[in-house]
Amino acid sequence: MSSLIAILVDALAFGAVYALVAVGFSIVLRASRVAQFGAGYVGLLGAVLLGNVFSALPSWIGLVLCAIAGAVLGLVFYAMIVVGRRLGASEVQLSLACLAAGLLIGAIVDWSHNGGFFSAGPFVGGYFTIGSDAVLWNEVVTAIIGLAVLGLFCLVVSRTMLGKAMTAAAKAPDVAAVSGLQTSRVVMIAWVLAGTALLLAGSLFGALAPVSSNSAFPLAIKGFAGAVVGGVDSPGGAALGALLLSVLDVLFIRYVNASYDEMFIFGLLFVLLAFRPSGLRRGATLRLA
Amino acid sequence: MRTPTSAWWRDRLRSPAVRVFLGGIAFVLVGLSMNGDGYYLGLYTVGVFTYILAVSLNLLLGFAGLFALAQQALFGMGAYTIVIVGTRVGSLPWIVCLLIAMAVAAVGGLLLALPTARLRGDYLALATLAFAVGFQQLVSNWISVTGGSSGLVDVPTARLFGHDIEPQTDAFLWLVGGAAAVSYLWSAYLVRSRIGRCLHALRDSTLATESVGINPTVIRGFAFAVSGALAGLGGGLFAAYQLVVVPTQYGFSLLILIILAVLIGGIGTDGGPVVGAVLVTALQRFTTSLHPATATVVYAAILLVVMLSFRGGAIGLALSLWQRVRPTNHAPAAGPSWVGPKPATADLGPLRDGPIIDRLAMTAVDVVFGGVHALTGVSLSLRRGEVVGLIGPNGAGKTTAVNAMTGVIRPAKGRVEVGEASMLGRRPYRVARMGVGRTYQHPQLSPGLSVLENVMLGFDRSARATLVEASVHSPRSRDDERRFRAASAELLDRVGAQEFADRVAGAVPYAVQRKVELARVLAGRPAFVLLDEPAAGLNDDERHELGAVISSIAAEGGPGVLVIEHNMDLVRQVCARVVVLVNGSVLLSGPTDEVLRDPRVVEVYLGAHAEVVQEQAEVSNG
Repeated sequence: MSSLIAILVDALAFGAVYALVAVGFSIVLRASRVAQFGAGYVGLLGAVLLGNVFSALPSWIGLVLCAIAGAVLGLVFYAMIVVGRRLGASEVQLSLACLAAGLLIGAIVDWSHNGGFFSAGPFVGGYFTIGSDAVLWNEVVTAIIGLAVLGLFCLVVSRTMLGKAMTAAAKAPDVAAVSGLQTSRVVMIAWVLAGTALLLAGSLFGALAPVSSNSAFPLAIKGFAGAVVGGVDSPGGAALGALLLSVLDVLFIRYVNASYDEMFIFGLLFVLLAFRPSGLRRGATLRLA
Repeated sequence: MRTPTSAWWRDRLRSPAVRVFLGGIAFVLVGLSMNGDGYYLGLYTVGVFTYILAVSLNLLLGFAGLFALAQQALFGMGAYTIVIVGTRVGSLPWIVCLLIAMAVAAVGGLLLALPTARLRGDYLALATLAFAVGFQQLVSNWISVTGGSSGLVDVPTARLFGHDIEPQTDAFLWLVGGAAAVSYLWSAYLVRSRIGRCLHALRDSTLATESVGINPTVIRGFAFAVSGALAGLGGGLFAAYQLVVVPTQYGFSLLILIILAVLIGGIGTDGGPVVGAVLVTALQRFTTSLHPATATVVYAAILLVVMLSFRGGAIGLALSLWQRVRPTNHAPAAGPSWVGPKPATADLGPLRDGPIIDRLAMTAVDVVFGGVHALTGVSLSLRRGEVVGLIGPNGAGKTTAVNAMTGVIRPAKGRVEVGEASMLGRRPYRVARMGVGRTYQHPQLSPGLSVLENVMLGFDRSARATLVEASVHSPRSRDDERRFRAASAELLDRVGAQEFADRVAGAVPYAVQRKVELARVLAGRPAFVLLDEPAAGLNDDERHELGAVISSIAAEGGPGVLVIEHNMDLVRQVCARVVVLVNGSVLLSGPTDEVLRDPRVVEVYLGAHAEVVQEQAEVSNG
């Protein structure tokens, strides 16, 4: 029972990070049918910014600046997609272009710490014990920040006019366009929001544990896996999926074998993609060509 | 005007055997010109490894249109397998270990194919990426078997015909060159076989290809397995070349190199991997002097530019320049011409054993999309030899009914049966194999294949040769191709589209596409044929011809035909019985004349224009 709380805090802290990646991934996939394969590297840039560039500032100001930097980076990616489309690149090509751009950002991450590990935290020190388990206050604080940011994103995406416009532009771009919606603007906002979500995810990730550019893939694919579990077409579902996966991840690390944890998650993702590509929720009955 | 000799030469130059012969001569000449210089020999060998990998990825990326990102892991599987088997099993000849390495990587490829039945491109990329990262973690952590991050150093030397083949020698170059020739030949024959045709069709439309009874998982799985075997072949040799196997050799940077090699050279061409491998190897030579991080930046930047702007690659660029220099006005050549002469008769055995299935039926079927009831309690049945019309206003659920019968959508309630067998939850290709063929409201042909090849797709499951035989062009598979070709020509003749046989399907008129789609359905020798608005877009004469064809299909105990149709003339011409669907329910069914005269039908179906159309009908009936 006592370890339950430790597990939960752990799962929520990391889960919120993966969920933010999942939300970012889902938003842009929905808006422009492009998979942001560079998500991990983009996120790690947040850790670099929070840990190095903004380290002299109070953490909350650092996080706000990270969010702004994420928005700017989102714009850059959006511009890249627009240019790519003009040049006739397919969606898969654009997804790989995102990966290439991510690798370039990864080079910045590497260069900033000579390829080694670095940390963007912790926000607070100290720990408390429950039974035999120690729980870091930093994890509690990160979980709270992460879940709050996540909640905000889900609220924007599901409850506001902007969110509805994004859904409309994603599901029926032609109809949305003739109804007077400026779809290109909406897609741009999607990339901006996703950039923000990814940089915040990365900075929180860096505050939880030391990271290096090699952390990009685990960070990204755990987020992607969560999105697939919850259904990539709905940002809220994607976030829930990531949280659920994080619980499984923490349990696996704790009780089975920490060094195979990514293999476990990716195996799960692989099996899921093979047998339930529409996610665990009730999928649509129509099979498309 | 092209002379026959130039066409003859063009055909010869397209043949994989000729290409590998010419390429082999060039390869050996370049190899000999190096005079045993270790540095250039090494660079050349690495280039050939890149070529093998590019060929294996090109098969998936270029020809099958599958965005797989795990080629480096399959390559690694080959390398690890040959070392682990060679050192642990003991006393196995090296060549046997190499074959085992190929087999293991082929199984890895098969595993990757699992998600492809239903996935869009980006999901497949994701699934394969996850596979590759999982492989990295496995070999990095399973220290007792793979040696962890320090890897395996006890690598068996390559050995053929009692001779050790040391790396950095001429002999090793010839060995790798031989493997490259094998890789090229296997993949080239595969894409020129019926498997290549199916891969092409699946890339264009998975659903339409499934509808003629082709199982996408099997076809793509086979392509993945061959691709894996080739990557495993490269990996097995690579281990013997490097004499050490460590996880970092099979990481992400290798994947980027392979993708670059495929894309820079020109995707989906035979020459692309050659050009790509040369360019990428030159690039590698340049970047070895750089800091690894800087090298990554260079590769990433090139990948970015290539992804955003390259479509045809170097080969595509060269071809378009050539077109400018020597413009030709002939239509794009469709279909390989290696098949040979056409036999007099098309001898095709029976598709199914067992009793003749006499009835296709859906009973009390409900179909629900979200909250919308598209069909409610619909029952329909069709017997062999009869032509039934399915009519109703737009949105009545006619196409939905056909989709429910063919496994495209799954009904929420009710039964769908062919004979006694339930079709519920069966995938479309299985329904097709039970003898239910269909066409689509918009013809679903493979635009890039020729008209004849589109019809040949319909014959695919009557092939006698196995997939392995087909991929190496065995005599039996060549015989299959000849029979399919002849039988397809006969069917095209029957539907009146024979003069378009060699044209690219995407470029023939709409009305012809409909005929071709019908011929493709008939090629499967169905027990039931479901036609979704076959007369849409046809003029009066064409419609009348179509009517004659439909009647002839069902004549003399042939297949039962269900026709969704808005044109009442055609319905009167061919249908003995009509079912009227309104708002997702059956309003009425019975003999054609009775039903069409029923005031409810006139009212509901023809709506506001009822009176006008009725007048017209009276006029046309005299």
